[in-house]
Amino acid sequence: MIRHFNRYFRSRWERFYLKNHWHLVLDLSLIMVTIILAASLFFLFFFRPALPGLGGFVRPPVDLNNPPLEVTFTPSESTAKTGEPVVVVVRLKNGGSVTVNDVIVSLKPTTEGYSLDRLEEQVDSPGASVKGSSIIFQGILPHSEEELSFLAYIRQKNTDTRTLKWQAQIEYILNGQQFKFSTDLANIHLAAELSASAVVYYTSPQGDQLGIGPIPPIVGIPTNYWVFWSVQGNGDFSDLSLSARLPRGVELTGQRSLLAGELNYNPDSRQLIWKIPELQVADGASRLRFEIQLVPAESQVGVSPVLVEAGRYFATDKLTGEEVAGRLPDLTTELKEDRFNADQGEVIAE
Amino acid sequence: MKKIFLGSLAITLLAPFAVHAATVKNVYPRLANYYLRWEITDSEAAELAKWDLLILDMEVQENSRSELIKIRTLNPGIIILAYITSQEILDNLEYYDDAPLRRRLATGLKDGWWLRDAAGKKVSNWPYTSMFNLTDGAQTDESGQRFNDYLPEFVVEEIQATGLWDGVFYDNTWGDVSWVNSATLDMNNDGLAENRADADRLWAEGFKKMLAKTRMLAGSEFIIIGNGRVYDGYQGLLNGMMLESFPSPWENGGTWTGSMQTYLKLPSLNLVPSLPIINIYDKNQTNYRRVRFGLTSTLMGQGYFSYDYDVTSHGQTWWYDEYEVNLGPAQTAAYNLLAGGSQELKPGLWRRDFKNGVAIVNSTALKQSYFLEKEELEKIIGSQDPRTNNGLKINYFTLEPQDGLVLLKTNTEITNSSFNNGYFYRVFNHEGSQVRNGFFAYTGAYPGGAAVVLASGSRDSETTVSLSANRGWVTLYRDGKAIASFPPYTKAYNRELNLATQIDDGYFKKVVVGAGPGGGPQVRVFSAVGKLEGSWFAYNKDLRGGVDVALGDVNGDGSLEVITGPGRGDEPRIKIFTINGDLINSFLSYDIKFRGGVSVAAADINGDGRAEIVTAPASGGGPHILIFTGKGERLSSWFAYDTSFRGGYKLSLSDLDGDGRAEILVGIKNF
Repeated sequence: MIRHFNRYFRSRWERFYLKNHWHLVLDLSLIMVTIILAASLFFLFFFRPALPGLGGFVRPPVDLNNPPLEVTFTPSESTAKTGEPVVVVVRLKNGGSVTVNDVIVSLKPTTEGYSLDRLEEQVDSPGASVKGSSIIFQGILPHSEEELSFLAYIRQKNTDTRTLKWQAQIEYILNGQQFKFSTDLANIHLAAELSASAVVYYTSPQGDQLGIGPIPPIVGIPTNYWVFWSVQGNGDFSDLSLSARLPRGVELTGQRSLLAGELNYNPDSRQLIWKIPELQVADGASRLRFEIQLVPAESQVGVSPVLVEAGRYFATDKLTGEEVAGRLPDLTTELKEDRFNADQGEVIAE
Repeated sequence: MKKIFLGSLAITLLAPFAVHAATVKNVYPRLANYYLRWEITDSEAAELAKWDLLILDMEVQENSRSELIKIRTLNPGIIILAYITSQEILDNLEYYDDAPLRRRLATGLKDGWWLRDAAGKKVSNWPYTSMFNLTDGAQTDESGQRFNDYLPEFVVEEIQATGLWDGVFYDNTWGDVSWVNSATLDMNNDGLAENRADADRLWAEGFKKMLAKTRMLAGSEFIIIGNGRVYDGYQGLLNGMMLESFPSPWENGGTWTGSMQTYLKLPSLNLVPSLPIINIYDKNQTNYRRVRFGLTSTLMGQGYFSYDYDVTSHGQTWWYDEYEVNLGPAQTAAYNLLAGGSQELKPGLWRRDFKNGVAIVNSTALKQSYFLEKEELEKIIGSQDPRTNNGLKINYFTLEPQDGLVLLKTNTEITNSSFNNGYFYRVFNHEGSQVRNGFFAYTGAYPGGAAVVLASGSRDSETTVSLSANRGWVTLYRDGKAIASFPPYTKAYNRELNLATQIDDGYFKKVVVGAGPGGGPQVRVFSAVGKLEGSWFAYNKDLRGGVDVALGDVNGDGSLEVITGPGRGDEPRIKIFTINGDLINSFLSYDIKFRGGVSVAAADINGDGRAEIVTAPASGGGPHILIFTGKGERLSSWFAYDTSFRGGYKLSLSDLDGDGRAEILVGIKNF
């Protein structure tokens, strides 16, 4: 290159400059002019005059790899009950020096079988509003935050999946330019529902005699009834415990049909406890049937004695780790569920 | 004597079929029919074969020989006794065409064998009959024989020799006779009446001689039963007495207590086998209370019960609901509930316990109520007196005076057939009639819902073995304790299992396993020690509905077949395989579109000696029970529960009442 330039300069020197020095002067002048023009062009290209009325036109620098808008959702992990909304707080932080405008946060479940029914503001916020499945923030000033607490109503259809994955798509305008990105929200574990029932029969729903003794019950004469306990969940549970108490005058006969777990009876506290270590949704309902015997006292004439009282149940949702609890109604000799013997519960003298 | 020898030879060589020593069945009730018609028809023979002991007039062997043989063919264990009056015979026998044996008896009679009064006139105790003189005061014939010699020889030669009878029923085995004919009996033909004491003594001595000679000639295995007031002096020669017209006015004071004292002491006085019989009669066939009173009184002891019209007409085939019950062997002696369980005989509320139930009789003059403390019993299901036999489970009862109850112990377990522990089972016979109350089949030793088989047999008093199949594992138990487990498929398989077993006298010989829902339709056969002997897919191996299994000899070839029902998702095709897995036959049980799976079971439910196949929808179908032969011919169908119930059904076939025919148990997990 240098050799080529030297050869070119030497040939020009010999051909022009030695003959007339003005050629040299002319060439140097042209070179200078060219450099000056190039430098001017470069300067003008980067020139940003701070003239009044031209401020909005000036775009502050934006780091595209680290946009100034930070979006977070809380809680980081949540549980919800089927049919009940999930409470979510969305927090937007503008860490830049420019206002972020027209922020739209759109939510969408990504787990098959789930859909977002609607969003509701939990607390009114002047800077934000809910529209359909989106939350709209009008603008967030530089170095400031906005947040909104809202309720997300999730719809579940034809699925046993209890972990909901969902996503938020955030759109905003910065410096007149539209930005868009997505982020995953923390999973929502839908709490399993646990239903328990307690029914007492003398005659089964199909018409089989289960109990023994007089109906209606007679003072001093034993009448036996069968209590049906059943628990069923739409998820897996652990440490299920269903307990109840036998009033005075009611005793266990020892006859039972236990399809899951174990039944214990403490005669001192008269407490019955049915424990199932694992209640799996795939197993369907777990059932316990046991026979009790009532020997009515004189003081119970004309009333329908309680057979089983203070029924309660507890279990731990294996997915959410939360305890589920409930109560069971007292069972009496009214036999409300026994279509063959209902309303024959009042004790008679004889 | 020569005659006796020939007679014995005839028994040995000429009998149409051998009558062996009578065996007394060890279960109750024991039923007798005092059926004294001289001829029986074919249909009557079929009816009479239902009883355990028959007293038929001796003329039947001549007039209805084939019917007599038919009875024994229909009921090989039956005891048939020939009725003969011991002390009298009809007058004017020439008018009776259908009395060849009586005529033959009369042919050998001597004039000096009649019982006469002091005036020489024949004595009669029953219209149109004349009495024999059983004493040694009777004259002898040319060979030195008296009537008390002649009658035993007649019985042996003419009755026993036919081989048709198990024994003889001597009517009127009185221990005294002075009450007859106003005590003017001339026992020694001297024209003078003996005094009462002498007459009775001579009579008893002569009568006993007659019985002793019968026993000597007939041998110890020939049954001899008497009838009439019980005379202790004869009892060592007899196998029993009939207490006719119970409580017999002439027996031990004429009270229930008196008659029962006699009845209960007879086994200790009689020869073995002791066969006391209580006969009670009433012109009203539907006097069920009287039937129950007589039957339950009889059940207090070890005797046979007979109920008919009255003393003038013993010849009915009246059958009662209580007769169908199999109470099983007796477990206790009779005891008085009103006297703290005392066995001292007096009026009371008497109870006796049997393996399958109890009998209770109120012998007092008052209505009695009683509470069964911590005990549940079940009334039988009957159509004749539904107020009493209504099938209800009870813990107390009220009994009218002179009434009785036959009650059953409630079922709590199923033996020798696979059942699901904790399921509710209804009990049906093969015709679809619900014969017992439904019950929860549950035993706490096994996991809830597991398929369980409790083996039962004569050896089960020593030890009880059982199997359970649950969550992919089969476990063997001895006396309720798990002693071994194995996974019939892989250890990873942890779903339900279906079980079928071959049980030999209380022990498992074969175990057949089918996968439950979620598993493939793979059948596996194991030996008694858990060795895999066969494995095959009964249906499309890609299906995951499982397969139900049963074992039974459905074609009568003496070998067990494996019967399978498909799981959910396949057409309802029942398949029959050899124990090695070779397909023998298959047929559709339900509509080909039904995909709910089929529960199967196999056992002899109708007593024909072959196993029938019973099916029920395993899920998604109504309680439609179908019964097939091994060829797939439908025998019957009926609904076991409310037709709208779609909860799915499990079948178990077990002989709950010990009658040799399995009952059909249809189980549901929940109502």
